[in-house]
Amino acid sequence: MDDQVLNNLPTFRAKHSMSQQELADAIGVSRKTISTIETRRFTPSVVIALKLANFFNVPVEEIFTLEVSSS
Amino acid sequence: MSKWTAEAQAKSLKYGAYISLISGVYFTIMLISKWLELAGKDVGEWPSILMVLVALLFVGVVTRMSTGSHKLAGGWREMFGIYYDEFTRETSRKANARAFVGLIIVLIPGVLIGENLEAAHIGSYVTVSTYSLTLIVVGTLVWSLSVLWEMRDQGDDDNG
Repeated sequence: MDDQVLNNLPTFRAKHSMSQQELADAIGVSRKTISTIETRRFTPSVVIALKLANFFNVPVEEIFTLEVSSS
Repeated sequence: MSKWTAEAQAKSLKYGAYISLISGVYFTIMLISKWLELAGKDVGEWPSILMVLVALLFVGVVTRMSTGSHKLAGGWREMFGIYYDEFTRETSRKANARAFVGLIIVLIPGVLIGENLEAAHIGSYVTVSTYSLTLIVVGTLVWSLSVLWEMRDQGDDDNG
């Protein structure tokens, strides 16, 4: 099984009372980008990860973590 | 040219998928009609009626895309499908790859049995016209369904 990228983006959004659309507009991506990142259907690039981290003013590792597969 | 926002790009790809899907349905009806014709079946005017209805649907969707809040303004980038929104770009690439695989799946049997159509059971149903239509149908349906599947609403915030 491949390594998985986990995220707690919904938590950060909730803390800031933001909708997916608002967050998407804030960092210049589509709402679909945000929703598919949250549901782990889409793994964002470093650029988007850094944009999100900069926006929330936290290190990237607070938003995204790597779940290493056991195999 | 106005700025082509990320949201507009996603919308553009999705509408493109709907148009492609409708086109695929149109050509599917045409293909089935030809096969039935080759099989000696008389289906009357039903294929023509269905094709007209699908064509009207096509016009309706294109009109809707061109007006009001759904107006898209990506210019030449939109025409060529050049997206800078990451998810939209990846969805487009996945759909292109899957459509390509679908076409290969149709092309390989064409290469293998193309020289011996008379001997093949389906030989009487394979003409240049029906084979071309099969390629169009497979390409459009695989591409459009791939895009619509990737862009499904699962996980979307109720508040948008």
